Amino acid sequence: MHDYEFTTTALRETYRPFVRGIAATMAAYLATPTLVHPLELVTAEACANVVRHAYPEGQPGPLRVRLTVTPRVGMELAVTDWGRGCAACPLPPPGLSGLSGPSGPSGPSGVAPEATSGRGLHIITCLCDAVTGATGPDGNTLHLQLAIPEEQWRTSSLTITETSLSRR
Amino acid sequence: MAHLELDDHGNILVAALTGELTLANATEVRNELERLFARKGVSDVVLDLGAVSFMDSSGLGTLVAASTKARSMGRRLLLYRPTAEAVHTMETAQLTGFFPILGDEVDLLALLPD
Repeated sequence: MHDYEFTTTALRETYRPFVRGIAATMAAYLATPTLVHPLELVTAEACANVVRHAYPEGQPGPLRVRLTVTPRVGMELAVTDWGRGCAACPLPPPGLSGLSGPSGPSGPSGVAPEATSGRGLHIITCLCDAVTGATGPDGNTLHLQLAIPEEQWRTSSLTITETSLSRR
Repeated sequence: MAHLELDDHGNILVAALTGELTLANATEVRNELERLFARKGVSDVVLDLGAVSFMDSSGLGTLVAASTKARSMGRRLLLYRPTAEAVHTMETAQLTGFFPILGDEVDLLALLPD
């Protein structure tokens, strides 16, 4: 297992470069770009939720992402804020598909077509294999698990050497 | 930064967005689109997404908002050549069919006046 930790201030201006950095770390493990977009998307949605909801407007706080890579098995993301908690944004029912399952929507989202927000968590639950939320003394954390099919992993040991430079 | 490059075809405006469409610029893009729909004589705004490298649910939400506003004014927001990733994001968000989509230049030329 390889563990990484990323931190930033939760701002509209900072979260995309922050997420791109995490996505680049994830991409280095993969043989093809196929899964890079869904991995980046779930990371972006989780971080955008923190930017939008965690802290009062004008008082941004910290955002931390811990990434655990288990080569040839999957990746786990723990997205943490120290703000108002998840009470205002309850988790929808668990998604059914995940990255290794059939593509496409997994069921009714409960989000009206004309709604302008509320789709982020739906996208997360559709693309992840497991999504759980926890609130505790060390902040509010959204845990995302993504199983990645074995053939999607890069086998070169060079990759691991390169990426180990940014490991904590 | 939201920057829309405009191509004026009378009642149809083709607006090309470059970069990303995310929480970072969703409000600016929405304001720009609403400004275009407020122009006199405009019936359709065609948003060219061909050069948009990444779109998230906030980006999609802004398109939904702009489209709903346009419909209330009797106008339409059409999406032109969204990338495969953007289409996948729309499918995952269960917005397939919400927007009229022009897949390629043939579709666009069929819409534009001669």
